[in-house]
Amino acid sequence: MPHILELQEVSRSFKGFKLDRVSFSLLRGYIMGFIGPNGAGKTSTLKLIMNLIGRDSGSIKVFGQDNIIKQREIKQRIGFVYDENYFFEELTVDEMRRIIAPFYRNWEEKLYRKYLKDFDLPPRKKIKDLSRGMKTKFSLALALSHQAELIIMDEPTSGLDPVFRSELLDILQTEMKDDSKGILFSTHITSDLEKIADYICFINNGHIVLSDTRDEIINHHLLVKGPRESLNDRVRNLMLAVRENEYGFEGLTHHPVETRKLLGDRAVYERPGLDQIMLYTVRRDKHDSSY
Amino acid sequence: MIHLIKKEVILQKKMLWFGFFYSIFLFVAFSNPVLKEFVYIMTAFGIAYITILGAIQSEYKNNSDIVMNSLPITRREIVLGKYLSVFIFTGIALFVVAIVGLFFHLAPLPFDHRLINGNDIIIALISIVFLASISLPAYFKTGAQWMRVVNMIVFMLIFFAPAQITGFVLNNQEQVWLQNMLDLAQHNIGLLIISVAGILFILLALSYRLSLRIYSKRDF
Repeated sequence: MPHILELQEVSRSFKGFKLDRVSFSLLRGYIMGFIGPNGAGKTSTLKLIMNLIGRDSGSIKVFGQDNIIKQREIKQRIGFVYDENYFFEELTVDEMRRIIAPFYRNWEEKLYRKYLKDFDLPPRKKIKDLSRGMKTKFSLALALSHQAELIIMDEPTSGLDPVFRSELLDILQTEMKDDSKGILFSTHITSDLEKIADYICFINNGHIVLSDTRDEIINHHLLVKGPRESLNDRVRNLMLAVRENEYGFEGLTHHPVETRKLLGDRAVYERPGLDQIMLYTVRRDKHDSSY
Repeated sequence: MIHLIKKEVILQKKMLWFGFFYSIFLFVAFSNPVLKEFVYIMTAFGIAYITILGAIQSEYKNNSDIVMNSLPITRREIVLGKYLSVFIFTGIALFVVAIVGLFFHLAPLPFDHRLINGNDIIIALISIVFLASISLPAYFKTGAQWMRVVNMIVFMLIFFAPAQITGFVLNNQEQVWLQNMLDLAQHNIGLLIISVAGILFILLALSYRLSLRIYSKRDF
């Protein structure tokens, strides 16, 4: 199956930060959650894909074509939702639509009107008077109304209430029903992804740490809780990172079989959530970089 | 390209109404015999300047370059659209002042205004294109904040340059090349206009190239 998005060894240096040989890919028909702590490089990576910032090296292909050389064609088929409102605040919803819609060949006015109705968006209301959730809904309505095949979303759920977050995730799931699209969804709220993401790409400090299916990533990790005395060097070496207190330890391992074999009944094992995987990996990276 | 121009007009729709009332005010205020000669130029320049700067400030304030650059258009088109909008806004401004001027010409008022003429149009166009040629690269490099500073410098140039030039001419009257230039300006106004337009066209082309170069490398 062809990749809808493919990044290979993409690097870009900034003042005090570097995106270093970022590689991952997304297949058509799937949702990829792009996770990482704040400042890990998520927004910069998405901006590289959208050609909002230039790359120093590497290649980015969208629909199999270079994202810079073919940007006009590619952007016809991309829908975007950003973490902040970059629309003209002093315009109304309808005036903004009049600016955006003509740029798209496949603009579907009927569908757009349907989204406005479904999202309770008043067309005559000024954008500055919309709530944060309404602005995201408006952005989503624009992104979904021109037959976009790749939807890029940068932290669309941050700062939104749980009801709208759940609503947004339902909309995305509905969008994926015909398998013709792909969604890249960046967030630091990993619980959003437990529900909808097929793939997870985890970035930290400008490096891709993990990129695989959500189930593979979760199955390859194990949360271990045990007494302090069982935390010897061999166990410690199997852990990504460990938290200790006077009673015991809690750690995450990506060697589940060996760890179970070594600790047996002396520990309790749990299937980790994405947030725990993120937390322990960040902790490990911080520990490593302190040496 | 037409969509980019449309965007500029939608953004400045209300400002154009303001320009209409502003021009009525200026036509009344500039009704004395000296100032009324310049009323078309100054009003058209004012409206065009306010609308061009207004559109730019709106984009800067909302950081809308991010949205515009996410649409299926190239950076070259965005830059070209901005330069074309200068002519569109100047055209609209000239149209507004021509209509308002026609009204003042026909209306039975205690003062009269002549109709707009070719010189008004050319001088207003030259002034705006000169200002835009200098300030648009500053906008594409730094956003609206520095553009305001550059505009102020250009304004001061426009303000003080005539006095400086007059002083220079008076002090160097005996210079042959200067006499030749003055003769040419007096007797061959057409050639003078073509020369100024030519220089301005080169300035505009260089300005566009510079803006394109700056904008193509910019990160958003």
